[in-house]
Amino acid sequence: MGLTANGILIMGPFIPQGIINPDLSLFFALLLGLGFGYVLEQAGFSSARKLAGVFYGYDFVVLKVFFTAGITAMVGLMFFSYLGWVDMGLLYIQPTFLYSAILGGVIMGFGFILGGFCPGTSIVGAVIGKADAMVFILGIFLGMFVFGHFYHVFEPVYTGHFLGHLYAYDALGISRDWFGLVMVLMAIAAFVITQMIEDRVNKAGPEITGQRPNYMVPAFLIIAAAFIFVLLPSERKSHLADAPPSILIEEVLNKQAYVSAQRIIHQIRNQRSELILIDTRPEAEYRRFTLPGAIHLTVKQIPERQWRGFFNDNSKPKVFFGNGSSGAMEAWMIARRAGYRNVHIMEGGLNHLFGLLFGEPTDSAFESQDMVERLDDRFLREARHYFLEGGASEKAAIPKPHIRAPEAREVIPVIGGC
Amino acid sequence: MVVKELNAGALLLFSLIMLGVAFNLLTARNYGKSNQAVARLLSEDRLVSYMELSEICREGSQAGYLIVDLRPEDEYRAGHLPGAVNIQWDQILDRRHKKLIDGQRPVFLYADREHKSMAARVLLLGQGIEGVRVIAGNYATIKAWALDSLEPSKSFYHEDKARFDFPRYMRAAPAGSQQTAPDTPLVPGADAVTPLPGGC
Repeated sequence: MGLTANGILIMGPFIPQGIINPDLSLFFALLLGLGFGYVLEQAGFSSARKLAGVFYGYDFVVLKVFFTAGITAMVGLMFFSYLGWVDMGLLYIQPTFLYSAILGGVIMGFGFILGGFCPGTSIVGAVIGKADAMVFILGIFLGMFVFGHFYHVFEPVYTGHFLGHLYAYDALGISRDWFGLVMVLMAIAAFVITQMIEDRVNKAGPEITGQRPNYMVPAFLIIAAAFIFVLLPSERKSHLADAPPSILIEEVLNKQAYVSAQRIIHQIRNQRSELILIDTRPEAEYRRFTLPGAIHLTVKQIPERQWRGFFNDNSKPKVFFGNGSSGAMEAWMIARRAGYRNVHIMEGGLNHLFGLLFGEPTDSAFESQDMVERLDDRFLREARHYFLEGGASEKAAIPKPHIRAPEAREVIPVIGGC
Repeated sequence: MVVKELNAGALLLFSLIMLGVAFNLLTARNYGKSNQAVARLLSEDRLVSYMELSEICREGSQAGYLIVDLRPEDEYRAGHLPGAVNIQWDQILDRRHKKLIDGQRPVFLYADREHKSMAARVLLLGQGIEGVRVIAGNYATIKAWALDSLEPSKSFYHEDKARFDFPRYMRAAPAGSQQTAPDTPLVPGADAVTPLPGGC
């Protein structure tokens, strides 16, 4: 229940999708922090008795508030994802370090019961002038100092048993929507059970329980909403993110989809890594030969979820190539339709590139009066020399972009050796 | 009182969600087939070899197929495959051609560049139209090697076949050239580049 964790969670899709200027993120963090603090104070969490109540069983309001907020936000996110407004792949998920997660959970639990605050509520408590909350904050900073100072001692535990970006529904092997429904049902069961415990501990008589408001309607509605997302066909979800065929046709017609072979030669010649080259040929051909720095992806892999982060990162253009342009065109069509913007096709493929370099040299261009043609020819001659001398070999110059596919934890094979 | 407000709020949110879902279901879809399904279907049965095409032309059984010429109209007028109809590449999804490409007959596509006919096939697959195949190569190669004379060496021609022995043209690197590789990751957030094992 951290302020920053919530902040990142909300900012996640906005900044990468370019809705919010990254420079303004601290401003929004401030707004969110104010709102979070206000809600905590209004819910009465500035009192240590509320948090301690969860452990003694006389007051479960903390659990109810956070669980309600959680499932409401979850159903909302499922809805936005369904409409295609939020790309779930862009949400920041804390990676799982198993040992520190378990140990941190235990420490946090002891902190709750001993101090009566969690980090967020202690600040709320301190702001309204509670001395115990101020002491609690002092403890937080002391702990931070000790941890930082003796980090080398804690490090093996802190970074131990790294599991990557783990999703509960993937670990359980069920779909995200079913997991959502299970979470909602769990929350409502928890509300009912904790209410029963609360009544027993407080020895609440019928004069109290009879007066209690009836929460049947909201409970029913949120279950219904979660259930509807399970029922909806998965293929229809978030199709609004798809680029329509008209855009695909237009970008091929106005040549926006293509990158010239000269530009690829230039990149190889000058050992740049401005473009990410993606080899779409069969794996055997890729293993035998590929352009320096190229990675291998098949058409089937492109729409898979684990590549979304890679394709959504628009910092470098990604260029598909094959022996000709046909396979690359198919790959581009699939990737561009999925809504990835900065993807291109290498015009003519490897055949064209090597044809340019090693095809029949034309003497006419060498003597041409046209400056552009002569420069073009000189560029190609020089590049040809460079290729033959071995400067453009796979092992030279451009390192492959080392790409991590989070879910599948697939590592692009790096080809070495002679 | 509080409960009433709560119920009203919950109802409001629920109806908003229902409205959004209904809107999403009712709005026109751009594609009839999901991207994943199209990607799976792409490699299946995509090319028509010159062998097959010349056999069809020899038997005169073009009527059983819909051969689509995707080139501009003037090029189509200047010459086209026997029995081919002209649908320009950028109009392949136009409504008026829906009746023609109905999935009853197998569709053969060709254009002035092979990758353009491939692109048209992907677009048609996206609309859920299967049984679309591409005649390998472009109009010039089809005419030369399938219609005028069928050469055995060209009967399985395909533009995506490697025409060079690529590794021959990229010699192994001279010693020391590996040092130029920067050690920083190229993709933000990725691990540092793993050093290449081996080497001469």
